Formats: sequence, C-alpha cells, structure tokens
Amino acid sequence: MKTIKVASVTILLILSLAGCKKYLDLQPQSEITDLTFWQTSNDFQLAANWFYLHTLDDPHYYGTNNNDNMSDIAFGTGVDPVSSGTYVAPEQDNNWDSTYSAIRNANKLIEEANSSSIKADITPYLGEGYFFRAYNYFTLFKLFGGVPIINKVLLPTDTLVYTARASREVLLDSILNDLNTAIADLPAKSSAQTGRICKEAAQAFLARVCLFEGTWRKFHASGDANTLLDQAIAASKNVIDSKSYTLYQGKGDNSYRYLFIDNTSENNPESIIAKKYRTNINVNGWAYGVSWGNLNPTKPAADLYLCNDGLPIDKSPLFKGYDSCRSEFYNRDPRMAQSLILPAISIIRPQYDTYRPQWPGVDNNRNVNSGYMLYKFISEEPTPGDGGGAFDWNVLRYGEVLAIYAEARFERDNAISDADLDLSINVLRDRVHMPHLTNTLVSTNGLDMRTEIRRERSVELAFEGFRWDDLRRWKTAETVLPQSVLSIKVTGTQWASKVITIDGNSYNSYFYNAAPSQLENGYKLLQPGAQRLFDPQKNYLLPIPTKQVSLNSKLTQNPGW
Amino acid sequence: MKLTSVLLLAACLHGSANKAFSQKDVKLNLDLTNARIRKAFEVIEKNSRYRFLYNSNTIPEDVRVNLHGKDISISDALNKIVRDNGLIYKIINDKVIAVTSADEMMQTVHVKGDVTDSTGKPLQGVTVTIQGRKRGTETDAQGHFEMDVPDNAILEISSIGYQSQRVPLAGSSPLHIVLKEISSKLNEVVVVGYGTKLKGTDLTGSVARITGDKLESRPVTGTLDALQGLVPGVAVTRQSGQPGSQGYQLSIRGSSSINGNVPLVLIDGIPGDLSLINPQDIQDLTVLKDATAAIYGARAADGVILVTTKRGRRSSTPNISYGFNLAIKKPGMMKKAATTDHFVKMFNEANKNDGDPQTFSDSTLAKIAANDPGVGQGENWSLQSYPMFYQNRNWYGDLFKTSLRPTHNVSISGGGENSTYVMSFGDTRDNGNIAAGSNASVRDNLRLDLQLNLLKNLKLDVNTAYDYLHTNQPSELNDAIDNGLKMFSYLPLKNPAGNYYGYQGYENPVQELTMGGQENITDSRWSNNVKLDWEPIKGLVWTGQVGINVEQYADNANYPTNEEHNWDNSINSLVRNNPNKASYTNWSSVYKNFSTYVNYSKTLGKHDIKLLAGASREKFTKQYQFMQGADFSSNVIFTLPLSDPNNLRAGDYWDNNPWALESYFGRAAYSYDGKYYLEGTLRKDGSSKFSPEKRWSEIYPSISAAWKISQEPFFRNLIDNDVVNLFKARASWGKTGNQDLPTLGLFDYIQLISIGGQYPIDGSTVSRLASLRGIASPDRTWETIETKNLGFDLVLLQSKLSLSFDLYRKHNNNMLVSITYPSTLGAAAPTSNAGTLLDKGWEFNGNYNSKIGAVQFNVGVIINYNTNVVTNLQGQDNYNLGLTQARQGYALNSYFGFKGSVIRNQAELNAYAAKYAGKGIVPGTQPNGYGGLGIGDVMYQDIDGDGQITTYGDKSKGHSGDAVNLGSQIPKLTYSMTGGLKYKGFDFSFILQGTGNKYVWRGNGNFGVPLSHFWFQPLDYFYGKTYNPDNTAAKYPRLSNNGTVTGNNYQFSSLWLENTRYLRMKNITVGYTLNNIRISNFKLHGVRVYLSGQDLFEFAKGTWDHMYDPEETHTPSVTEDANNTDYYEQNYPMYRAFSFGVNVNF
Repeated sequence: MKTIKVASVTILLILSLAGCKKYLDLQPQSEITDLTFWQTSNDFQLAANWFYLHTLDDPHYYGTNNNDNMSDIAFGTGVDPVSSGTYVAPEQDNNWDSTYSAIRNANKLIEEANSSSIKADITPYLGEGYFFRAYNYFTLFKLFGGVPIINKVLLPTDTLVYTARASREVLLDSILNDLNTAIADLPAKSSAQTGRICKEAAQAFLARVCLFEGTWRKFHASGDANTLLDQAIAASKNVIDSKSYTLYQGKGDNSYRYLFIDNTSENNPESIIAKKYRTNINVNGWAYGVSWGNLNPTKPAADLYLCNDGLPIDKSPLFKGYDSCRSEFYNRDPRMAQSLILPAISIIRPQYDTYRPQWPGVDNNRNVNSGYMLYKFISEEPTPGDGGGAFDWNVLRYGEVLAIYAEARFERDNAISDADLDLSINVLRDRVHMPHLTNTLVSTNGLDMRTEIRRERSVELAFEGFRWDDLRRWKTAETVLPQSVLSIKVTGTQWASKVITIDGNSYNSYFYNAAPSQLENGYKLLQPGAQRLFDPQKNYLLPIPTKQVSLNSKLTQNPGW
Repeated sequence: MKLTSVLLLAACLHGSANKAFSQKDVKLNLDLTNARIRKAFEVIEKNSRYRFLYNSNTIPEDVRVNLHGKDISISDALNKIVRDNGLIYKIINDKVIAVTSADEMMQTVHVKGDVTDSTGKPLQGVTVTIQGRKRGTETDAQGHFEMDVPDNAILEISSIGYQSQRVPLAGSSPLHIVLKEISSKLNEVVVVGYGTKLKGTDLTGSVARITGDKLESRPVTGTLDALQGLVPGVAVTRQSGQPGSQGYQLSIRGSSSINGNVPLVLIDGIPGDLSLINPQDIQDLTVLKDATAAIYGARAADGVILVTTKRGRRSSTPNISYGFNLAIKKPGMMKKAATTDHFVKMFNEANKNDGDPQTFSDSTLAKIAANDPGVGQGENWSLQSYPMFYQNRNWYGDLFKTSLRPTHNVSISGGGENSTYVMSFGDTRDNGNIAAGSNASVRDNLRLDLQLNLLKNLKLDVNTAYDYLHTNQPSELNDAIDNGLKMFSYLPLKNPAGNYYGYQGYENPVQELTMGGQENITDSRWSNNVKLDWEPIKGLVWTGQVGINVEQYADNANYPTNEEHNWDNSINSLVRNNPNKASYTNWSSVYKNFSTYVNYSKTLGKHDIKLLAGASREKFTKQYQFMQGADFSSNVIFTLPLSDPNNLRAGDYWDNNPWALESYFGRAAYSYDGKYYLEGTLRKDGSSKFSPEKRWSEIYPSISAAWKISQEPFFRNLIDNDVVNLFKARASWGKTGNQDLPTLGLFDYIQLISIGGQYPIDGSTVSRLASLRGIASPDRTWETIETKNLGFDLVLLQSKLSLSFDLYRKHNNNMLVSITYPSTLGAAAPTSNAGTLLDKGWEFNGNYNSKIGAVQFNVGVIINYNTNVVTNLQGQDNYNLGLTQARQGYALNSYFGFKGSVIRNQAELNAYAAKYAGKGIVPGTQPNGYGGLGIGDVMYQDIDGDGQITTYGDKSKGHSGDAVNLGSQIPKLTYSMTGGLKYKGFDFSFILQGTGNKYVWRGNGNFGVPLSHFWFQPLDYFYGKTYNPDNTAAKYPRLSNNGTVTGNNYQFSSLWLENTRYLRMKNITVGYTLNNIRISNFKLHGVRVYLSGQDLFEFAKGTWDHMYDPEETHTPSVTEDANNTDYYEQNYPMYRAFSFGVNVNF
C-alpha cells in the first residue's frame, strides 16, 4: 500500500514538470523574422540596400563574366576558356544561382511593398526592387538569352520552380517593363538620396539594355531592332538632357585615369551607378590584384588608340612604330598612356608610396607574359586591399551613356550627324583633348564611321568589362576571337636586346632570346590562333549549367552545348 | 563494533532504557497475530527507522507474539515482544535495537587482522562481518581491522573487485587475509543511467567501462587525449598540437548522421564537456554504445558517455594525495620548406620546362653552394629590385621549440559516519611549442563533492566544479605559421641594423609573433550539480537533480601597429595593423537541467525487477557580444576607452538564441535467477528547434535481453572447475531521436530575415542590409536512428581471459538532407527528413591477465571495424571535387577526384593531346609555351567517355563526369593493443593504437603542390621527385610557373592522395611504487614515481617524409569544397611528450 502511495506521489512530481506547456515555446532573441519585419520605411530601405552590395558587379579578373580577359583586348595569367572556345558546360554556374537568389529577394521586396500599408512612403524602395530585378535578369539575358521568369517568391512545393525558359523577346519585355515601372517609381536624381538608384540611373540602364538587344537583333538578324534603338536613343538623350551628370574633369589632363581611382568618388559627377568601396566599410579587394598582372593589355588593345591627329595608327603619319619600347606610345590618344603603363616610367602603385620605375617582371608587375602593363585602375594607395581601397567601381558612368547615344543614333539610321557626335563622342574626346570625330574626317581619310564609333566606345571603356558583350552583339566575335593573341613586338625592336637602357637606367628584357614558339610575326604570342575556336552556332551564348538542365526537364540547353 | 560488550552493558542497564528512550518515543501501528518473533522485528523495522541486531542462534525461531493496536510506543512494543519472551534489548544510538537472551553466556574473542591484495598492498574499506550477523566493521587505510566476535564465528571478508572469503576463527592470533582480485568485468558495478547501477555481468547492452586510473599518470593534455585507444568502439581524433585548441573529436561506432552529431557526455548525470574536465577527477567512465543509450533519447543517437567523478569514502581518515607531472613536449612531424639550394634549382628547372629564361644565375648557384654570407642583386621573379642572399634558414622549423608542461594535482577526500567529501584541484600549464611570442594555456580544475545522509533514507549529493581554461597566443599566430613556410629560405631574420627584416612585403613571422599583438581566450565554466535521493521505503528511491552550468567565454585580441624594416633599415611603406585595433568577443551561457526520476527494485525469490520513470527539462540561453575598436591612442594598452569612439564596430554575428528540451522516460528490467535478463525503455522528447506541430518525437522504444548461458546446469562443471567463468549472449534493439545537429538552426521553422553586412551607399556612412535567410522549414522533425546489437561475453580460465564481441548496425531512417531544387527557387531548400544512412560494424575486445611467479601481466586487444554508407539522399548525386561529406551510395567524407598519371613520352602526349586538347581542363598542346601541355604533365582518365575531362558530366546527356571515388578519410579499421607488467614495486604499461586505410588529399593547401605559387618556395619533399628528362620515373609532374600548365597538373587527382594508416606507440609508462615510507615522524602511505612517453614513435604511411602527422585530419563542413586552400599550412605541429611524474599519498 505504501509503495503505491509513494509511487503516486512521485509520479505527480514528475507530471508537475509538464504543468507549464509553454516550456518549449521560445522566441528568437537575436533574429528578425518575417513576422516582425516589413513594418517601417526603414525595413524596406534595409531590404533594398542588400542589392547594392550583393548584386552590383565588380570587374573581377577571374570568375565572373564581365572581364576583358574573355575578349581580344586583355589576357590574364592563363588562357581564358570562354574566349578560346574551349569552355565546357559547367555543372553549376554562380551567375545563374546568385541572380535567381537576388531575384527571390527582389520579388519579396516588391510583394511586401505592394501590399504594404505604407506603400506611399516606400515607393523609392519599390522602384529599387523593380530596378534590381531587371538588373539581375539582364545579367542572365546577356549570358544565356531567354531564361525562366520567376516573378514571385516560391516555396519548394511550388510547381513554378520547374518553369520553362521564356523566349528572348518575352524576357526582354519583362526587363523593360520592370525598368519602366522603376523609372516611374524612382525619384529624380535631384531629390534622390545620395548614392541610391534614381530615375536617371534607371533610364541610363534601360539605354544599355536597349542598345545591347537593339544591336544584337540588327546584327544577328533576329527581330525588330529599330524600336529598341529608338528607346536607347530616347533614354540616353533623357539622361543627357537632364544634365544630372557631367564627365569627371577633376584632375586636369589626367582626369581620365583618376576617374577610376579618385577616392572622393562619391562626388564624382560622372558616376551614375557605382559599387562603393570605403575604408573599413567595404574594402576594394580587386584593386590590389589587378595591379599584379591579372588583367594585361594585348596588341589589339594597344592598336585601338588613335594617333593624336585623330587617325588610326595605320593611317596616321604620326605613328612612331615599335622600334623602342616606348615608341608606339608617342603621339597617341592620351588615354593610351593613362590605360597602359609607359615602360620604365616612374609611378606610384600599390605597395609603394614612392615613384618607382615600372618594368615587366619587376616589383609587382607580374605581367611578364604580355609586356604591356595595365595602368587604368592602378591605385596609388600602398595597401588598397588591406582595409583601404577607398575608390569605387563605376558600374554605369556618364561616359558610357554618351557612347550609347552615339552608337544607337548611328545604328538606327546607319548615319549620325555632326551635331549628335558633338553631343556624345566629341564630349569624350574633349576631356582628353583629342580632335573631334566628324563626318568630314571620316570621309576625307577613308575611315568608317561605325568603326570609329565602336573604337571610341572600346577605347573609352577599355578593360571595364564591355568588350566581350560588344563583340557578341556586333556579331564580330566569330572573326575576332579565333585569332592569335599577340602583345608587344619583340623582333627587331628594343625588347629583343638583353639589356635596355631608358632614361639612364638599365633593365633586363624579359623577352630577350624568346623561343620561336613564343613569337608570331615578331610579336609576343600569348595564345596561338590554332588553339582558339569560335562556333557561331554555339559560342554567342553560354551554356545553361548542366545540373539545372537535369533538375528541370523543362529547361532546354542552348544550341550546340 | 564490540557487540557482545554492548549487549552485556545493555543487560545491566536495561532498567534505565525507558527513560533514555522516552524523549524520542515513536508510535507504531501494529497488527501481529501469532507472528514469529523475527517477523515482528521485520515489521517494526519497516515501520520505523530502527534496525534489529541479534544472533540467530539466540532468538528461538518458534516464539510467537501477538500485538494489536494503534500508536503503541516503541518501548511498549519491545517490552511486550522482547522482554515478555525472556529476552533483553538495548537501543544503541537511537538506531539499532540489540536483542539477546539474558541467560546466554557468550564467549567472545578480540580479533585483529590485516587485509591485503595479492601484491601485498593494504586494502582499505574491506567489509568484515560475522557470518549470520548483519553488522561488522571495515578495514582502515592500513588494511587493518579489529573487533570482538563470538569464539565460534566465521568471518566474511568482502570487497568490491575481490573474491569474498570466509575465515573460520581459530584462536585469537592476528589474521592475515589476502583477497584475490577477480576479473573486473565480472564484478564491476556499472552506472547505466538515471541512478541505475548494475553488475557488469548483468548488463544486456553493449557497454564499455574504464576506470579513472587508466587515465592517470600519463602526459596527456586532457581526458579526450587520454581516451584514445582505450575503449572499444570509441574513436578520438585530433587536429593540432596547439595548446587550448587541439581540436579533439569523439565518436562512438562511426557516424549516425551526415549532420555530424556527437556522443552525449554526462558528468554525474548532467551534460558536460570532456575536454575541460580534469582526468584525475574521473572515478570511472561508462560508454553506452547501443540501444542501452536509448533511455537518453534526445541526444543519445551517437551513444552516451557517463562520467562518474570521484567521491569520498565513508568513515575514513582524510586521504591526501598530491601528483606532479612534468611533460617535455618536442615538436613531432613538421613540414619543411625547400632549402635555398633546392629551391633555386627547382625554380630554374621550372624555367627550363616553361621555356623561360633561367631565373637564378650560375654564379648565384655557386654562392649558395658555398654558403656565401654576402648580399647581391635580386634575381627572384618580380623581386629583382630586392636583395638576394645565399644562405639557408629553416624559417618554419625555427618557429617551433621544445617546451614544458607541468601539472599539479591535489586532492583530499574522506568521510564521517554520515558524510563524505572530496576536494580536488588540478593545474596544468601547457606551454606551446612556438619559439617566439607567448603561447600557453592554463587549465585549472577545482571540484568539490559532498555527500550527506540528511536522514537515514535521505541523501544529498552536492557537486560543484569550476573549470578554467585560459589560452594566450600571438594574435597573428596562424598567419605567422603560414608565413613561416612562405618566407624564402634565403632570407635572413634581421637586417644589419638588427631590426626584423620585412622583405618586400612578406610579413616576417618572428616579428608577427613577437610584435603582432596578443590574443587572450578565457573559458570558464562553473558546473553545479545537486542531487537528492530519498528512499521512503526500501527499494524505492526518488531522485531530484538540478544541474546548472554557467559558462563565460572571452576572447580579446589586440593588433598593435608595427613597422617593417627594409634591408637598408628604411621603413617599409606597408605598415601593418594601421590603425591599430583590438577586438572583444564575449559570451556567457546558462544551461539548466532539472530532472526527477524514481527507481524501484524488488527481488522476489528468483525474480528481480527494476523499474524507472522520470522526466527532465533542459534550457540553454546565451548572451553574445562582439566589439571592435580601432585607432587606440596607445599601442601597448588596448582598452576600449582609448580607441577612436567614431571607429567602434559591433559584430555581424550575434547569437543569443535559446533552446529547450523536455523529456519523459522509463525503464523496466526483469531478470530471473541470474540467468535471463530482459530490459525495455521508452522515451519521448520535445525540442524547441521544431515547429510546434512537429516538436514532439514519437515514443522511442528499446528492448534488450541477455542470457547468461554459463549459469545453466549444463555449464556447472566448467564453472566449478574455473574453466569458464562467464558466458553471456546479448541482443538489443532500439530507436533514438536526434536533433542536436549543427546544421539545424534554432528557429529554422520561421522565415528569418538576415540583417547584416555593411555598405556605404552614400559613400561615407554605413548602411545595413536585410535579406531573406533561407526558406522556413515548418515540416522538419526529428531524425530517428535505429540501433541493433548482438554480442557475447566470455570469461575463461580462472577469469584470466575475457573476450567480448559485438556486431552492430545503426540506421538513420529519416536523416535531414538537402534536396536540391532548381536554382529558380532562389534559395537552398531547407533540409528535410528524407535521407538514410547505414552504419555497421563489429568490435572485439580481449584481455588476458595472469601471473608468472611474482610477475603479473596483462595484455588487451581492441579491434573495431566500422563502415558506413549514405544509402539514400533522395537521388541527389551531389559531390565536390575533393572531400565530399555525403554522396548517395558512398561512405561519408569520401574523396572524389580524377585518376591522373604523368605523361612520360611523346607518344603518350600525342595520343592524349589528340583526343582531349582544349576539352575540359586539358590545355592545348604547345610544348614549352603558354597554354602548352608537354611531357611530364598530368593526363587524366576520361571515365565517362564523353571525350572531355570534366568533374561533372552533363547529366542531361547521361554523362557522369570523370571524378571517381578515391577513398574515405574515415578509416574502417581502428585497433589498439594495451599491455602491462607488475613486479613487486615496478610497473610497466603501454598502449599501441592504429588505424587501417584512411585517405588524405594534400593538393589543396598552398604546399600540397610544388611551386603552386612562385612567391614562396615549395616543400623540400618534392625536390628530386618531379619529372624531368633526367628523372623520367618521377612520381610527380614537371615543375612549372605557368598558370595554365599548373592548372592542368594540379587538379584534384589520385596523384596527391595519400593513405595515412598508422600504428603509433601512444603511451609507455614505467613506474615504481614504495609503500608506507616513514620519514622521521612523517608517514607516507604510498609514493609512486614514473616515467611516461606519449606518441613516442609510429609506423606510418603517407607522411611525405615525416612532414605531416598521420593523425592530422580535417573534418569538412557540409559546404566545404576542394578549393579550400591554406588549411595545412596553418596547422600547429603535433608533438611527442616525455614526462616524469610522482604521486604521493599521505
């Protein structure tokens, strides 16, 4: 009896523990949840902020698909499989995965903002949601063509996860719709918060999209190009007419070079959309690496620059040839010496806060394979990668808008007026004191206006990651890319001597006694043309990552892959 | 206890008994009808706190008594029952009622004796009783006892761990009794959880136990270190020799989940940490490996380790002991960078292979060969503007030195009649092997235990422990170790002006260690454990236990600004840590555990029943802070008020989330006649980590049974002849839940918003960012692990030989796995209960103890064979090139890589290039040029035959890729052998431990491949091992500085995979013990001096000429891939330890 008594007492004791049913109902102490977020304007601002850090592109010299090593004008430390045509369809591709992740966040911001009771207060952030959704779809569009359009926040159980690819046209319409909604929602630059996407920025981006697809349609003969070119003209003209931006002229004759490394760049009048880097807040990691020879100019880059009479090197009497290490730099567009380092010139560069002569293979000029040394983007801070690097990357700058306007104008009618050239190309040339491009100059010297407009764009935007996209939309990649990649001229020039004396100093030539297999027609050979392929049926688009194709049976692979 | 004297005295004084008694009179309700007098005694015992003491010969069996009534006083009852029957009684200490007959004339003798073990060591606490009587005495610390006994008595002498003896009295000469030890397996008492103790032979599950003495007297840093090789089925791995962060990992019988769960460690019933507890405090350690652990449900999926700490002994004089150990730690296997001579030759060879100009001139080579102390013009790649030197310095080797680790332990234990106590204090100062800067960890352990009998049936156990671990190390320790290998061997330590030389921008590792700041990490834990046992009636014990562990962790690191000097003593423009900064990471946590349970045991004839029911609640809360200050006005004192107030920064990581568990459990055990055993458990758990709908686990059952075949009649002869001492078969089955998964967030069931990161949107101020964190997972619930075990225990040959064998299987049936959805979902889907993992294997444990003459010896063998396979990942065939944590159809932590071989002639090159050039990772052919593939490079097998070399095939076209399984990091076979000898005062023991095949891939660190970067030298190991025309049989491909060539050669391939199986001498100890030493008035009970060595030598494969320790493993996180670099370089080398120690018992 006693046993039962005591047992029941103890069982009661045990059960008493269960009295409080809430024991396991805990609340997060350091996490914000969906239930408590999306209440204030600040919440929406935080959500919009995310896209600036995570989706604006850097000009990485590896990994991403916006660097000029993938084109003819630059060469990295090794061969680039995309420009060589040896790229193999990857199982996974971060361009695909991270853009859809950004699109998910944009969809959430748009959904929450549209259903918010404070919608009127948060229109600018709603506009940013639309803008960044379009921005990310355009990244996919450029690389892959039409892709699945996912415009809502999905759950794993949602069948829309298995959506088929939209056509190129439908996706473009979707991007333009988002951009137009964004333009309507976003405030004008004058009333926008510093650094945020404004109406003009969205217009400039729309101009970029329309030029891309307008010229793509024109040269790939796929659809109505003129409507898009008209929109590109209108949008870029709007930006120009808004007078919201001007070219950066803060450093006189050196303004072009300082445009990219000026550490007061939040005040840069040319900057439309920038990836911001500030000491101790967001550190510019690529600035250091780019100075180490990860992005090296090639012969096609060097040859692009006009002589300072406005004529190409094959037409100008001012071109001094290749006899010395420096002769090809003489009498050229000032942008050449601001983009490529004049051999043996003394400059300040990362890790050295005193002027030191620059020479391939010396200090951190590790671009011993090319001979040409990149000067554009080279910081003058000793430690740009170590907490410093307080200068921005211009994702979209006014200089590009001017180039877009000129090209869209010309391609729309296969002609451009001198007035329109003065409104665009010649503004760029004025900054560097180059003679104006005119219809007369073209006709007098047997030049081609389209070539000159493209040259101007390529020179102005060299190494900023546009070249591969440009070659594809112009449909010239199939002829340009499969050629040998060459750089400096060695045979018969100063580079062929063992020791080179410049300005009283002696330097060892890295290219002395170069093996015949490393030269082609006397030029340093970086990659022989025989190793470079381009299949026009296949290589204008990248392959969809194969794992995505196998996961989603509705997803079709691009042709040829 | 002089019983007879007491009784005689009682007879004289019984007249006054009533008076003395009346104050504390007890009322009884009795209902005795014609009851035997002894039965009446029993009834009174049950209804009061008194116990009867009598000689069974004195109390006649046939006397009957009648007594009815309520509230009868004890004196009335005794008068009626005892005195009325012609007997007398005496109440002693208000506890014992002694009864005898007034007319009995007892002859008593005074007996003295000593009890020793077979080695002559005095045994304390041995129970000496008179046969047929309930009470007796115990031996003291010298093994001595004395008592008065009837002259015809038979003494029973018994002690746990020894065979009991019966000694008939013959005269009064002193007795010398030697107790024979019995195989510990047969007699040990094992704690199996929640207060239940069983004799080892009565266990139904697979349970291993070791006693604390196995962990003592060894130069180990802690308990985990000491456990290696001692327990069948328990594997301990470690990653580094760095004080305070050796990275020990513990597993029992392999893995039960890809989500990386760990065994539950309970210290006196409350979850704790083996890495902090002082091994000297451990009384014994029990490992529950199979379904026996199921009673611990929620976190027992990977087994349970029950640690019982030492307790004092009742009624004993204080036992004071002191132990000292001085370990000498010598760095063991270490990487070695190429010597200057080897480096320049290798570099020039790479130039030759690449068609580049020769970097180091012939005259430089000559100077290096002559060990020229001069300085010359720079020649190294892109370092021409820096000086060149010609001597050799072993930068990395010089970073490490031999160091000391002194350990002190003091303990005092003992007890009175109703209480016991133990106090122990241990202090270990583990000095690091780093030769510059300050690096040491100090561990202090203070433990107090008090056991009090509050009442006869109410016992309180208060246990409190303070564990403190303080580590200080240079802030840039990891970076310095990394740089130690990267510094060119030709560089001198200091410039001519005597300042540390900062060559070009390479951080001088010695300068980093001495001037780069200090990091102080303090982890202190205060564990409180209070347990109350109440036995309201015999056999029924209610236990209430409260455990509260408070932990505080602080990591403060400072980074003073320091300048680097060039060779001409000018200051390098790269100023490190500018501005200076310091970070402060703090967290404190409180863990509370409340449990209550009831144990009931009853023996009815041959039936033995044990029941248990209980419940527990656990809650964990944490407060975490991180703060970083910069631009401190002092470069020496780093305290936040000295920093720039505008430059304060709080951490992005902020984890203050709580969790809670609630559990109910029960057990029933039945055994019959010591032959048949059956036990079952039930458990149900609730966890706060799941959504309210999925919170509660199913009721997890377990059942186990054992059959002691040796108790059957047909075994009698073998038992009686001591041929077989035990033969038992066991079987168990059970299910446990698992939620203690690192991959499981505490609030994953709600959509979380990440707010973190910073970005200067306006170009000057910090903006915060918000994004969706993953996808909420409201449907997720417990993993369920099913465990099966079959085993037998066999003890033979007078208990000299014991063998046991177990066959087991662990099946995780609803393992949390990630199902991959198309990326259009926009985030990784949360894991769901959709995978299965099968882990199975066997264990063998054999021990042989015997004696030849005066030499006692023992040998033991442990073998464990374990395999696992991920049987179902929902068809997800995910893998990385390199170490892959889980892939369907393969073992955990398997390597996937290409099958590579060196191209050794033109024909091979042509054939390979013709087929694959430019496809996949294979560059085009252009020997000695950019992008060229040449003889001496690596070719790979096109496993899936798609005409290209790719990691992954295009699954949409049915290609599987060319990466194949190269083997797992986890060895299937682990084994150990232990042995010992004792001769008089000498003792000797050893532990050998090893593993079967286990694989490590070394290609992903900076040093896994030679000249992977040209800005530092390769490992010396590669010198002479790379392909060149003079060494066409070389193991490794040709050297190159060309990114395209190295990109081809250094793929994740079989070329860099090493089998690192080993057999290591874990420990050798030689000791000598002196007993009962008298130094003038001072007496020492025992002194033991010993020499011990840990990790002295090994037979190992795959160490790359002793550059990598075979035990060095790297357990990847789920997301880690093959491109993880910089791992191996930062490894703090392991060490070999030699030690001298002394233990003194006062």
